[in-house]
Amino acid sequence: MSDAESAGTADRRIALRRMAVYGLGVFGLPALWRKSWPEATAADNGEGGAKRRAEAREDDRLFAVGKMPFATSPLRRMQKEAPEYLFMGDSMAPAFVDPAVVSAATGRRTSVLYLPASTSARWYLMLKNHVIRAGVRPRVVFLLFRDCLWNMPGFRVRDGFWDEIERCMPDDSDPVIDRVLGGPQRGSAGLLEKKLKQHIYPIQTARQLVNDGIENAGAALVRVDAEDLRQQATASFSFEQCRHGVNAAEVFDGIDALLPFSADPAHSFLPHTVELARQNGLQLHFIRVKRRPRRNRLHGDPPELAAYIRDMREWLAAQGIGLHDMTPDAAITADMYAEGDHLAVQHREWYTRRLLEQMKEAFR
Amino acid sequence: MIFHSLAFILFLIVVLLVAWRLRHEWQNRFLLVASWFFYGCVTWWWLVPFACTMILDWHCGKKLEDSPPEKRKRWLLLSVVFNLSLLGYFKYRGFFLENVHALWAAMGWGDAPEALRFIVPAGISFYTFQSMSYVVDVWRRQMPACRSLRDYMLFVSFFPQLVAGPIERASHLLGQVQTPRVFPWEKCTGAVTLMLWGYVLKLVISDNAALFANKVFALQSPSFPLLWTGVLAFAVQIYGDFAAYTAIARGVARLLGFELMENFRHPYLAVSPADFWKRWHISLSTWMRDYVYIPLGGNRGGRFRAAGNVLLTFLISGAWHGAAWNYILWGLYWGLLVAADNLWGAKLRLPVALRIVVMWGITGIGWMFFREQDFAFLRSHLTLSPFAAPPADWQLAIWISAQLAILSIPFWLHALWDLRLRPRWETWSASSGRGWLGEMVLGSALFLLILLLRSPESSAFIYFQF
Repeated sequence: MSDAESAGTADRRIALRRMAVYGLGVFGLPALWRKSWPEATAADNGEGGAKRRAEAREDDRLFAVGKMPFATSPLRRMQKEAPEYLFMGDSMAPAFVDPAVVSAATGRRTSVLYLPASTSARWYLMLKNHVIRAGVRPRVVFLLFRDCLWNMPGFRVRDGFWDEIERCMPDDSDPVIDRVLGGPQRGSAGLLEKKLKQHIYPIQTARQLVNDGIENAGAALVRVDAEDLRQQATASFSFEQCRHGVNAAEVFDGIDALLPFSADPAHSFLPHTVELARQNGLQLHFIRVKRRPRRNRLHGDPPELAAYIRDMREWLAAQGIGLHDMTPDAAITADMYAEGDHLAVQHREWYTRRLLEQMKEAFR
Repeated sequence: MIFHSLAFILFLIVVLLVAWRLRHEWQNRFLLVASWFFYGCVTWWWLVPFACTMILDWHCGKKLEDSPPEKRKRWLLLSVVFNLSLLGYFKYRGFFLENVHALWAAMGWGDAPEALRFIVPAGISFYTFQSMSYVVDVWRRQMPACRSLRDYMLFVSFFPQLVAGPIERASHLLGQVQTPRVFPWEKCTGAVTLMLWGYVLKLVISDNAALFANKVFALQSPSFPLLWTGVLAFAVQIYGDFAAYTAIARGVARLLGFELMENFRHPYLAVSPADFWKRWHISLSTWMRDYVYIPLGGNRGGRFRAAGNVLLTFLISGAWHGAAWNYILWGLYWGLLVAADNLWGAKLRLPVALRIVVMWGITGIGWMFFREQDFAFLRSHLTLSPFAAPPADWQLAIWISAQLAILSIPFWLHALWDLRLRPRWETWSASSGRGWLGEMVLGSALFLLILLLRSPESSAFIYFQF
């Protein structure tokens, strides 16, 4: 080997060593450091941070591998509001129903519990873990859905949606979810990413503390309690303040897959939801929302969808459950919609009154 | 494939491991396949117009060099017409038809059929401009034609900069493709640190700012303070987003032995509209200067003729950004400002700090045009009065702005570093040979920032849509 070659090899060896140390330093130091984080900074944060930290400690799953922490705020909200009438569903639920109008008309506490872009897996889990687990027993739970979604258990359950499903589960798994979906729906890359984040760098608590710190620093500037500002922000940016349709989580053009109706417990969350409600003494009522009537498209349902809804109605009736179908209502016209299938805000009150009128029986 | 996904990191590791085991020619072949996989793995048909552009422009380049002078122009025209037609068909067809239909309806001629919008192939504006500039350069005899289709395709397809730039010139990148590369042992740690900086810009700064901006621009009737907080958030978001893409692209390219051009030079420290465009999206503004403004006549023919050329160049630049009226308005706004700056800017004598602050306001109004696609809302935004806002909204706006200011600290530290500390650091680093230790500390801090402050919601890069 010539002198130049051996010098090059030596340089390369030094460079390789440097790169190894660099890699260890960049990616290893945070992993070592994080172990001391929650306690080390506990004293440095204000009341809001301490409260959140205490909540985090109560829930040891925050540090579990491969599972998103259970979202407890909907549960607390249900406990606080203790609704007598509860409307559940995806972002269409608040778009079509104004709980204040229902409360004023019926004299009963009314709430809307929704998750944008949610589908039947999450509706089942929300009923189980956010409503029944909260210990509340509404007189009627109205489930808003569209078209065939109750027979599409695998719709919006993968990857990012799976994270949201996990946020509705207090435990690592749910037998009904396992049965219908056949186990977790996280993709392999997603799982690896989650393992990396939660096993090597499990810093959710630290993230919360840092976020609290930034929010508190901003609040100190205006000399208002950060919690008050958070509430103010929630009110200022609420669904009611939004432009028409911007809360549309995902707009689908056209009609979902047309399947024959089935209440097979292995392939649908519907029978499990009905059974769960029955076991807990809850009266369910299904509401099929009317999607935006589109130009150049069939008026009314195609025959397969009409048959599906007819069969679903019959099956629900056999369980003693009602189904209200908005779609034949000609009074709801295309110009009343904002973006996608969401009713424009200015028509919500009108529509809620119409719903009350059309569903008198259900509100008794 | 997006940069901030685990799939991309795995893809990059595989590409690096394989590419550096191959000799130059096979390395180029492999990088070409990898680039096409990167681009086509989501929507395969995007590869069709992409391949057509490259093959045609490569052929035109060769013909331009081989043809007698009297026949050269036809090859240039073929390339330009094809590229602009492709761009027009995919990007502007829907926009054009929508406007025709709106006019149709306004004339009371009944319901026009709905205009269909295609999914615009990602990065089409970037790669057509990059490819077209090569043909123009060959036509101007500023560079020889590339004889290897493989090398030419890699120059246009090179995956780090394919989707959102920088728009590279053949004179800069093609040579790097054609020359054998050696593994950049000394630059590796710096390249990874640059990528980490890009990830901080995207995941920490831009995505967190986007949460605020999206909330404000979703409001039906935002008050004056909330609206301007939203504008501020969007200003942080778009700079963080685009600068992030460039930083990651440059870092990845460096690991592969390439050097890409800088695209940003602290744009929010600009002291005038013309200065802003020397600092923002430099690869596009220099492209527009060289291939639109100068061919239009540049500053020949008098000051007012030059101002007209500036205005037209910015209008085209606005339309390049997107097929919507708000982008054209945005281009017009900047065109007027830059033209006015060229005509009368020298007469303004204000302190630098004040000029920077004034430019924030000017840039903010521009970003409002860019972000707000609904003209009714835009009109309402521009007529808002600060005195009509409730005190609670001012409190909320200051609170959010303070959070944005904290999130933006890395921008200012970066500017301080670049403008004041970097020369001293480079001298020390070269003499001591321990620069990599500093890079390690910086990299560790950046990685920690990502872990701690990464936004809960992340979106695709804004410039992907262009």
